[in-house]
Amino acid sequence: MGFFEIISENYIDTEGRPRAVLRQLRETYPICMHGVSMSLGSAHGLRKDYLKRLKSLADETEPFLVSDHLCFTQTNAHNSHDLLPLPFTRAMAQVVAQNIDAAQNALQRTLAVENVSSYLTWRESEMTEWDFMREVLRLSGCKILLDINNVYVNASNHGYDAMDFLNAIDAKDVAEIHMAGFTDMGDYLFDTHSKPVHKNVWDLFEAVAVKFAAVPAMIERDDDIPAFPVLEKEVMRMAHIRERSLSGVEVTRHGSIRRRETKK
Amino acid sequence: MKKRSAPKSILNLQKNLLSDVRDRKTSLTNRIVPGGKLTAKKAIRIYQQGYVVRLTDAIAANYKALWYALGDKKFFKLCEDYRAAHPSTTYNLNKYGDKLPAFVAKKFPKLPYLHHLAKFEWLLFEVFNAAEKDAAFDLSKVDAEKDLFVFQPSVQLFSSPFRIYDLWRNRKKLPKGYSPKNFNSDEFVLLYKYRHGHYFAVLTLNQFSILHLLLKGKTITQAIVAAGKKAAISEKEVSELFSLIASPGVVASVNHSPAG
Repeated sequence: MGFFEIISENYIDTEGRPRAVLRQLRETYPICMHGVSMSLGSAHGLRKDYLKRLKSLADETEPFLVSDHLCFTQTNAHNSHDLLPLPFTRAMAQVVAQNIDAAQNALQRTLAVENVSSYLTWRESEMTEWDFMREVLRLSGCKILLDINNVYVNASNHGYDAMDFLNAIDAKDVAEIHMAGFTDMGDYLFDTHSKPVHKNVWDLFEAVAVKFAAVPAMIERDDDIPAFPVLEKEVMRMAHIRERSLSGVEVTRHGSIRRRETKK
Repeated sequence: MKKRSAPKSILNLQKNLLSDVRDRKTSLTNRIVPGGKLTAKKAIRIYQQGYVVRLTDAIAANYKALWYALGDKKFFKLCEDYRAAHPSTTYNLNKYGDKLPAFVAKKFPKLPYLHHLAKFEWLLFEVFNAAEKDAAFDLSKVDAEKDLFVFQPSVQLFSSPFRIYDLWRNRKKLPKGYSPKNFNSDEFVLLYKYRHGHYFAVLTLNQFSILHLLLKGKTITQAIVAAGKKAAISEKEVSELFSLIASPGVVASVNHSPAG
């Protein structure tokens, strides 16, 4: 294992066993903190109490990355505890960028934002999801947590080519990659994180393996979690795909990827 | 970055979507492009169902014994009523059930033991999440007149007119159609943890009173004298209590400052 990712909210308000296990894990492994409650798209702004607790956890854990989702989860009154979709408009991008700016200032770190799976989009959207993501990046200077499973789920649910999304994202903007499993519900694909990574998602990973070769990647599993060796096998599969894809290429001094020249 | 207020249209959209999700309404169908082969109503329903599942799971995770005691049907109805009465305002889903003990008291006034059971389970949640400090004290050097105990953050006292700890401990073994009357007798319990393991000690009323006063910052002498005014305290009770206090996980340190 290269690193582990934690769901920040499972550690943020406890001083008990979860935090002790995290401290122990951190002694050996790099950690990244992935949150689900920042509500970066919230039109009412961010909760200061949440940011304060998150900063305290980050200061103790020293993660190599802090991330959350490109969505909203709450209004000023109530919390949905779900990743609710945003309209892809310029005004919305401005709100998100402002919130990211506030979060980055509070945490004193660059934030990465993840593309979410969705089951609906908004009629008022003015651009594609990937253009919206790029606009948020341009305005805020944040990084992307690229979830390839979510790209596939949304491409299938909303009828576009997943490669259009992946081709539009610049490798230098991506701080982490997520891989996960979805459930085919018949009428739509549901991002459940309860299944092994689907073949088509592996194919996408392979298609962009060279482009994102330097980006840390991980498998997410939240439900029906199998034995650790089964998960480890999926992680090793990512490594093998990268290794195979990179066999004919090399990383330049400047960090870009180019095809290796063979000596005649 | 210059701070600007969000446009009203976005504020309203978010307010309405969250209200649709929470209250199972469909006010936004004309603004939605549903995914897959879904209709707009079905697309919203995915988020509505997710809300129910997440909040119910959060309650169930912290109130397993209450669930056993009520059975599936009554427990899920309780969750439904609680969701309606208390939409989530916390960012931490794990804490969503914090108001459930008080809600159970109102919901089941004729079955008061359920309220005590819920209260006990929430205390367990607090014990689980409390810190454990490194303990450094020598009980033999404690001055009963002056010194004050500093207890571990996990230490909690629980009292009830029902044998709730017994009920909780035997929750999986309860015979069908058991009568809660079997549990009708006063109970005083100390809850604490050591190296992440939970510990329970059933106390007498006197031991509970003394410990309660020690937790409130009284010296040993003050606590014993005050508790003794209510009832006669035996030497055995005091000796047993201080053996318990000396156990790892109860006291963190001793404050040697003079008593006020």
